[in-house]
Amino acid sequence: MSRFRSFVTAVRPFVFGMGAVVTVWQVIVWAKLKPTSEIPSPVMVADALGGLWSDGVLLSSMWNSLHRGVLGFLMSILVATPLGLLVALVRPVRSFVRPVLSALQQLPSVSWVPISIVLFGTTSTTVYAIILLGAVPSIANSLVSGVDLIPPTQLRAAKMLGLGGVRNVRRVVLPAAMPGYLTGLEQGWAFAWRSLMAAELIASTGELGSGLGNILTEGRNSQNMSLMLAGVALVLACGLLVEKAGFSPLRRRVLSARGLAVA
Amino acid sequence: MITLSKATVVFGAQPIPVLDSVSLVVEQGEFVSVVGASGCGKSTLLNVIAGLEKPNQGVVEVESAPSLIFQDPALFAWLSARENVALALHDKGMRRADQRSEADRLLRMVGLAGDENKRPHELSGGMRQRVAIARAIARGSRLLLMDEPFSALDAITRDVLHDELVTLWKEHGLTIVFVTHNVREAVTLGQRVMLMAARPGRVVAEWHIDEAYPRDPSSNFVHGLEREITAALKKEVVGV
Repeated sequence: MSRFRSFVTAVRPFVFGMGAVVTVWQVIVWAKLKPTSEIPSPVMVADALGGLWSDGVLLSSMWNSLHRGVLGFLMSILVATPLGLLVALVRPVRSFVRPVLSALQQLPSVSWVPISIVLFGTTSTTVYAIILLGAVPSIANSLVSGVDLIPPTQLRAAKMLGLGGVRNVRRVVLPAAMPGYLTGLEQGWAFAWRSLMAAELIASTGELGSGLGNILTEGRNSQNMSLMLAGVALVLACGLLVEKAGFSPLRRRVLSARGLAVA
Repeated sequence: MITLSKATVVFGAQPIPVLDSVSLVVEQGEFVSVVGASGCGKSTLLNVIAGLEKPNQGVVEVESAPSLIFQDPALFAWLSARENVALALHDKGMRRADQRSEADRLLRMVGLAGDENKRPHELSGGMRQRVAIARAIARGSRLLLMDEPFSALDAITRDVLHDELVTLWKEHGLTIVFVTHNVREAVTLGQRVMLMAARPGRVVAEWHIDEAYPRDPSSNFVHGLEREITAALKKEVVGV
């Protein structure tokens, strides 16, 4: 019972917020500022979602996109973590690589899509390349900042305990940098997910399975505003799912273990 | 045993040395307090003994690898008290289970039985400093260099930790160099109190204390010597 109650308490603000958005939306529709072909009503979008569900497209599209996004994100972590540690801890590497990382982080990874398509065609290689180019710099950079912010007393303590090399990195540096690293992961996921959506919109043909980007493209091709809004809602739902099921519990664990306030 | 002969430390291009030709000998098993005003080079002296700082001139010989304890216990926030201590045993070739039981034994020794699973943020300042002491002892070092370890604690906790530190020192045959700006603390703890002066940093006076342990910090003996040393310290600071 108390578990149910705490769930309700946690979900209530979200439900109220979404309810407010839908209410305003419905009011705008009733005001007939635009025809429903341009601003469809919430019910029409719900209908479009229902259609996607009964066609079996809804779950498969979500799965395809999430699967690709998460896989690309995991690959980004595998690349960015050793890279970030090298940049943070090895001075010569830092002076050469850090500026490159910062430059790449400024660059919207969508800029690479045309080049990628020429190089790899409209294949999953293109999609993953775009995700990596988007997520790796931000994850690596945040890890570098996280390492830089470790209090010197902690590093001195590690040294006094005779910790060095890989063991020091694994037992002290990485856990000490964890809060900053986690922020980097969340940011990296946001970049990965955005990059994926952009890639799916631009490269929506070929051997790529159908993802959420394809729903948006199909909506555009058939001038179906309800379908496009349904697609946006699904993209949003995926983002929320990853935040609530992935990052939120992880963040709570990391912060509460360190006695830091959980927002 | 620690031997310093004419150790001089100069920071950068500063004209006045931070340590000026400091010589001292600390015997095995001795408890030495070092007092002095802020900036007199107490911490530098400790860093030189610890090997963290190389003197520009002079010779430093330290027999065993020391463990340092600072005002900030510098525990690892993501580890429990037990894991913090066990981490100090990482290179002793012990199995995980042995590391744990050894860590528990050391925590019991510093009066933290039952708190093994707590994280640093769940411990009080005094308890954290006890974990730091257990961790230092876990390194197997018989030489503790302590840099104002209790100065952030309340007076009562500090008194309790003084008694416990003296007990540990006696039971384990530790050698302790204890740096503080608190004269009463120096007198309560040390067999010897060395007074340092600043600009340049040097040892200006020394008191040998034969009074038995544990010493009552509010006793007439401690008060008397405290007054005497404080007067000498004042003279160094104000120059009167």
